[in-house]
Amino acid sequence: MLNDKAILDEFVMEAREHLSAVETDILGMEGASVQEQKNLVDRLFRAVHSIKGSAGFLGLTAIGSLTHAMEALLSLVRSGDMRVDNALADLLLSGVDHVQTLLDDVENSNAVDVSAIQGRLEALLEIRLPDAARRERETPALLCTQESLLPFPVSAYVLNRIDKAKNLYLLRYDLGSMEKEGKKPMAVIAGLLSAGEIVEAELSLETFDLRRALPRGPLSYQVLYASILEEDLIPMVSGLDPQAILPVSRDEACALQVSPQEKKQALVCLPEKKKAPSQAPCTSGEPTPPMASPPRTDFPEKIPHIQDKSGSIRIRLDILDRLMTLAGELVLVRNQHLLASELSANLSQRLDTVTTELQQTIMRTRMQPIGNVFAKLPRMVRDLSHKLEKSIDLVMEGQDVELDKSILEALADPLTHLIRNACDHGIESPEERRAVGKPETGRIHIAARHEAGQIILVLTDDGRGMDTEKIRQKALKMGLKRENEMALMSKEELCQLTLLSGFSTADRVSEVSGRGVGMDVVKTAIETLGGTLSLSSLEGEGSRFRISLPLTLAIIPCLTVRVGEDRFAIPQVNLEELVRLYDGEISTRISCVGAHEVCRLRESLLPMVRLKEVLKRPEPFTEAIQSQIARTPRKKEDAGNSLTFAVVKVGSHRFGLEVDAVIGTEEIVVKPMHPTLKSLPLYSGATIMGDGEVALILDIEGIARHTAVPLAASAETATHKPVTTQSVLLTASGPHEQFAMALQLVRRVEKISKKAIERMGDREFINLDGVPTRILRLENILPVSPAPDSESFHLLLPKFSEKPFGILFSEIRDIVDIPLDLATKNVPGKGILGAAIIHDRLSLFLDPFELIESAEPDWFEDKKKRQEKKQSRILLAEDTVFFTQLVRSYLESDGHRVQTVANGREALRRLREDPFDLLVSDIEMPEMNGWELIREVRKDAMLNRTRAIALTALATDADRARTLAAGFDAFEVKIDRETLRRRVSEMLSHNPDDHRMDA
Amino acid sequence: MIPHSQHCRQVCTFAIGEETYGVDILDIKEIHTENRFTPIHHAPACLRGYVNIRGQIHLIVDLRVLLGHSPCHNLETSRILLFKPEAGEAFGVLVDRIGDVCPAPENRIEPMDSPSGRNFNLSGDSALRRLSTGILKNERELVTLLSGRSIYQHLAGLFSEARTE
Repeated sequence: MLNDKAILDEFVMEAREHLSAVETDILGMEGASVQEQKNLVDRLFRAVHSIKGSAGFLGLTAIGSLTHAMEALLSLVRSGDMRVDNALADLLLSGVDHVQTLLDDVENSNAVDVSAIQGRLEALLEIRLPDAARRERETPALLCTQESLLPFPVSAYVLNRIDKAKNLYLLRYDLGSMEKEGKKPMAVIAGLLSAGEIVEAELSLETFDLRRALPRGPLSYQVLYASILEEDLIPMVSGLDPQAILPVSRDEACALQVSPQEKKQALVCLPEKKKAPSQAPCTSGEPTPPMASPPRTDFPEKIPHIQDKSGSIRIRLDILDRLMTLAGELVLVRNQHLLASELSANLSQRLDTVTTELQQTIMRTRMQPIGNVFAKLPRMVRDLSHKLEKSIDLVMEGQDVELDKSILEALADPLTHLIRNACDHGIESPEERRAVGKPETGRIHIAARHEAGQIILVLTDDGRGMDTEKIRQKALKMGLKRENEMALMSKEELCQLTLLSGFSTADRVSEVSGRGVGMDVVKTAIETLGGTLSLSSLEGEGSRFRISLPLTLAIIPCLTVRVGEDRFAIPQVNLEELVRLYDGEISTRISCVGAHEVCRLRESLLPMVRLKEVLKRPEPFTEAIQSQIARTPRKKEDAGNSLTFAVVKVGSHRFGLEVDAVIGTEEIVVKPMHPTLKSLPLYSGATIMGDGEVALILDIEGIARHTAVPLAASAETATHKPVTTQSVLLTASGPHEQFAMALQLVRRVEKISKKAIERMGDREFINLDGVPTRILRLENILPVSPAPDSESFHLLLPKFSEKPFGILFSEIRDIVDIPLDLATKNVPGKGILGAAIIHDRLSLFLDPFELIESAEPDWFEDKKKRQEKKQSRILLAEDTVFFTQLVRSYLESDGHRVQTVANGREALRRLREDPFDLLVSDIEMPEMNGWELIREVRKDAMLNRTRAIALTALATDADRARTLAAGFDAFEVKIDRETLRRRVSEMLSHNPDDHRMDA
Repeated sequence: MIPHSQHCRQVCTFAIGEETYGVDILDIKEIHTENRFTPIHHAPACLRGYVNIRGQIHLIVDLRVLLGHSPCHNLETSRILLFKPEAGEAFGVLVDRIGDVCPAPENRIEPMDSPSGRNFNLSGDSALRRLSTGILKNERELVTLLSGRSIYQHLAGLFSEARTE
């Protein structure tokens, strides 16, 4: 039987299962109540016994004798002759470890010398044994069948502890025929244990190695079995023919209480039975363990632990993998089918549903509870706390949370490392803890939970936390960061430094941890799985690690995109959003910052990567390459009128990946890259698309590394001006439209009653504070729906109007703070700056000045005069879209030609390229602000005569002075249209050689 | 068909350009006419790309390029030879034209580093020298024998070479 690898493998598997339960139970025994202990010990005993029995069957003597010794100790505990204490637990755990080691190389386990551990086990036994029991153990009770002595001795101790009500049988197993019949030893033993107990058992030959040669004569394994079952039922539980079952009577055996010197033999006679030829008695040096069987009612289960999993079944991994692959293929076929489908929609849908469910169910078969990984931790914490002389408690939560098997396996090491760290560096010694008023026992808490398609693992300890000062020092010493960089970092960020490679603030490299190999390896391991690791810490109070992991690896949702002729897949986990820019937006939003292209997306700067260019260049990008790409203009034919990119993220950093087209979203089966290609950074795998062609899956992190794209996007926006949101007043007049106006344009809103409105011709007026105020109804100026009749209205009075007027609204809806993005599409009517979606409604932005101008053109007579002038070219430098529109509209309505740029640097460039008559510039802009711009302009010999007006929201005297000192000719507030227009026309009509004017 | 005996291999011949090559037939799993490849950017030029054969993704080597010829796509006669796993995992080669299976008895094979072997004018010689296991002298032509294993190893070596550049 030793020959059969399958049987050996099964033995190893079952033995390991038993052992893990054993370990848990041993740990549980310490500190359990007496009753609980009793149950635990029983369980322990059975488990160890089971292993011993099978090992005996298979001739694994080392394992057998080790478990035998452990069993001996446990039986003493069970009978109350030995106390459970630390020493016992330690020794038992040590024994477990040794057996595990033996199981690792089970075929050669017999050659391993286990005498040391065995000696210790037996020594403890010797010490603890009460004298009476000791005597009994040394007394053999010789039993026999009808014809001869039992082939092996049984001690009186053993016999006395067997329930008198049980019958004894000698079971003779012929190992050779068992193998032929395909009976498995583990199953046999399980069967026996289900109905009784194995008192003693032995192989009938001396040590041999079956692998060398078959022994002569039949191989027989004899078992002394105690059971309450009657003889006729024994064949059933033992699987033996009745001929191989010999009842053993012990009527007079119990009378044997001989001293070690006297060895009387008690011969017991038996009813007539056929019997097997007698075997040569075998020597057994081991004292046999007692087999007292506790009353059955104590046991909820009859067989140790195997029955915990009733309702479950063991499946070979390769079968599961095959099942997974088939499910994946089915998904692919379904996808193909969906493409080519002409079936009725109903059928298609059902196919779809069933396939999806099948796939999901099969994925679940790979799911295992995270408790499997947690299981090793208590033991580790216990050992560590003893070693480090600390007192540490481990609390685990969420062991039932399930994870894909492969993730679980990869998680074991990082988790272990984190716990080790917590024990070693986190939790303080009892004295330290007492000194700071903490309870002596440190606490490590690990919890797992599901959250939105991810598994979240949180590990906290109440130890000493992270010393940010030490981290700072270490980072300086290692040259990881500079002093000034760290001065800017928050405590959180300083803690994150520990995740960098090579970092370890342990003063000494303990063998437990602190090898300096630490946290970055953990972080990498977790990120390889597609997860993230973050940490936070409070000095003196503890640390907290948070790991998030995806639920499964093999089938992922992704976005398919096209570049040139090729298709690629971007995993959804890396995808944040999709953006498409049209026409002019492309040039206004995308600009070059040094060697990199960036896009302004909602007031943050996103570095851009052109996938097409990346694919062409296998070498990692240098600065030169980046510049080359950035400076290459997009060809009109390529780009067409639109530019599509995906905002992708890696960790917490984002960048934009430009593609030719987005195809769609799909669930794809991830196949690994060919082994020879694994080192290509761009790809994380390949997949087969619905049409049967292979597509490559992009590795976003690889792309980021290859292109060295600057990922510090957040730092760049810090220099941007803080006013990135607009306060906007939302109003309504007629029932169909929603209007919006920048709050800065609003002076006041008055509630007026219908009765107070006076009419003069076709104009309406109202008396407000003694001032006749012209009322504008939007429906008279714009193609919008009229305000419904009502007793009262709201009148919005704009700022900066020379002649008083107000705009009529039926409703004031809200004031919102939004990042403003005006769409510049054609919106009918003069007076509308643009439109944006606010609170899910299209809102039309009003320009009050244009409105009044179209309503009362006479108020603006001088405008005509201005329009007769030659058209001047004005460069407007302004980064906020809203104001750009606003100011541009003022200037263009006067007939000037306006070009806009979004920042100072751009402005400088444009000024150098084309001639302009006037520069109107914002002060607060990214890249180069207004002050810097004007200084550059004044320095430049070609440009320094350019007239320049500063437009700003800043209105203090200091700012004024500064602005003028920097070189601007004038200084205006942004939204004061009339003053601005006047100033502009003044500037333009002046002789350029005149000196600067004061504001 | 001459039965395959221990000393007489059977070789499947194919053409690259005007030259004839051969591979031990026992190394070949199957031959395909597939021509839809997914190019792998950043991979060396000798890799034609990925191809889907019955749900399995295979890596196809462009033998023309590997042997130093200029690439030539979409020949009507081009075929993919897929190798068995023993020769290398999930890979195959793209050739211009499949020839016959012919016996390759030991006595007609000239090893590569024999004096007369060196006389042959081989193009792309450094790659070929590494990949080739001998020259078979057939009645009509000379067949340069290649081995699937060595092609695979060459692939595997490509990236470590690139690293050291």
